Amino acid sequence: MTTRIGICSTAHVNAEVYAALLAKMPGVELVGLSDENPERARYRANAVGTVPLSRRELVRSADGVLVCSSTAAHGELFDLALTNDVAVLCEKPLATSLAEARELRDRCEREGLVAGMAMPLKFSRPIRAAKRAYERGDLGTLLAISGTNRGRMPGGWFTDPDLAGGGAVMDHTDHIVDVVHWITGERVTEVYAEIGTRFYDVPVEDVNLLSMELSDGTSFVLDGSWSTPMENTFWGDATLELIGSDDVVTADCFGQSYTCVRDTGRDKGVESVFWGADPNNALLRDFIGALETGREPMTPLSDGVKTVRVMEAAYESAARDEPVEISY
Amino acid sequence: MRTVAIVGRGRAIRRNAERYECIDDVAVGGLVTDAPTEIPEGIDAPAYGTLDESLRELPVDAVDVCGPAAEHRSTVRTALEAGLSVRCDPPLAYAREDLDSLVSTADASDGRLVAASVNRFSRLYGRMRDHAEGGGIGSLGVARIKRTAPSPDQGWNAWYVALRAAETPGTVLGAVAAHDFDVLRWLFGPIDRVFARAAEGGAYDHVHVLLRFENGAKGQVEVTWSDAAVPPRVEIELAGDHGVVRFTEEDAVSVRSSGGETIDPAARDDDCYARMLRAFVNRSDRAADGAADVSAAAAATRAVLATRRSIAEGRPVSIDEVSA
Repeated sequence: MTTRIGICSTAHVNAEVYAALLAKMPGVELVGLSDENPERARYRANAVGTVPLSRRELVRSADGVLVCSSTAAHGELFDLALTNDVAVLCEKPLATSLAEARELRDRCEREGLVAGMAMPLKFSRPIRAAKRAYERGDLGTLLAISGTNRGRMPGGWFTDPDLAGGGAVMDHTDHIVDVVHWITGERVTEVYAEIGTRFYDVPVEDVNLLSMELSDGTSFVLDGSWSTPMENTFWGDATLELIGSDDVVTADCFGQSYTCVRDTGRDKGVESVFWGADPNNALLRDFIGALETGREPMTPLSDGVKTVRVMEAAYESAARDEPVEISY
Repeated sequence: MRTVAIVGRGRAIRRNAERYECIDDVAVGGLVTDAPTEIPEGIDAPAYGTLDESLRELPVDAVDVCGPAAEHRSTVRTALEAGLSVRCDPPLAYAREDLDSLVSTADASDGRLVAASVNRFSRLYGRMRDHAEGGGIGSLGVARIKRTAPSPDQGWNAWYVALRAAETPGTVLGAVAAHDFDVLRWLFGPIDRVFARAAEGGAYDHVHVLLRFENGAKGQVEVTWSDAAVPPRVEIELAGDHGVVRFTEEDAVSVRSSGGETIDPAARDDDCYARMLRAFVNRSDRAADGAADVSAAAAATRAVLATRRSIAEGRPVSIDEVSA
């Protein structure tokens, strides 16, 4: 049986990554992609040997769609998916507000739609190794967590407060908070944020430093700033350190990389090349497995609601200049 | 010949004594220690229980305290009241009253108090400062320093090994972060506000501190301290609007033996300790811009006080709240 997958919007930078993987994936047909910009849809569809479709055509011809639009457009794409009973894998964050995130989760649960968040780090082998170490008890009692998820400033709609809901907080809080929730089984219950706009002339924050506490008292610090220079040899990073009473484990999701230096050609310059297993592949396989069997994807929307809750608390903390408690 | 009295314990005494040997016209006249059995072999200087004792018997020109002033309050005070030059590590104090009192004593003294971090004398930090000051990274956005403080193995940055011998774990975190606060102030100007959380248990202690500088930049200092046999590790990242300066411990390894051991290539007469001690005894603090500035040392200490208060009270604490 071939599973038909479509990509709804390529506004998100990951859409091209997913398209390339789906185009090569056995048992999967990339039925097409849609985009607000027809030119861009044609170009990107051609690049992976698929076709540009309107979003209505796309949801009618697919078993599942990847929602890669601006965050503000998630709602209308969920509407289409719900109407056509098409499974959804949604780019993060789920919504620009907690209220909308909850509404999307509730509607999908009510109507029994297979829907999940695109959280590839749960499939990152270094993260999984850290999780195993934690579960084996290698670390003893967990004391503190330190994470980073920095990146280049993505530009475009990511810096439009109406379309993205904010800046670096909205873009780079999700992944590490989600894996911390997953690994520990705890929840972030307090957030203190130092945010600001220091790197670029943009109307949203590009500094995202969060000091958090988990429900069991573990301290958790995260740097999710857009502090990676455009000329950096890699797009950014994703790291997680678990500090326990007996040991410390540090996972660098993209640590398996080599350096490539070129004097000529379009890509001349220095580049870091990640050669480890691509977690996006496993993410897509999990989603396809979920829609084929009707089970929940690895990261259900309810997890996406929890991370949006943390982001909202981060903004509240920055506005009030004090730590903010979170209840779920 | 100028005479230095070294105050401290075993390994730290040896480290500094060996470096004074390399400085012309300076002699170690005496050692002041509360642990005479730990005095290393081969140092030809008499030992005293207190600085007062040594001052009665020796013509001391300068007092070199191996450890934070916070741990050697009466010794630092005695030296200042005797009008001597005193060097010590940050922080100056663990309580605001002690800090204010020490600063008053230093101001009233004919002597001199030097309490800058040894890191200011490291070539690494010096080059990073050149970058930052020369506009190489533009305006600072986020400064990060993340340390894993080592077991008693000597590492490339062995300075906290000595501290570990003299400190309880809780105060070590404050003392270690004081070096980072000092360096960050030196690089980017006054710190305005801190928020910190600490955790401890078993073989590990951990603290993270979020900083806001007066110029609006942000910072993160993180210290993990371990009894376990972990290698020392430092990561520094200074990210500005024009670029980033980044350092990890691996970057410091330039000599490695076939067994995988790293060998520190720094010469004993020219590593950061030697440079710091030479600047101290020669009063040539220009090399580290304002290392002898008591108000700078006090400001780094105020960041430690604010950190401790933030940990205790679970809220951001401005430097003003812990200032006189």
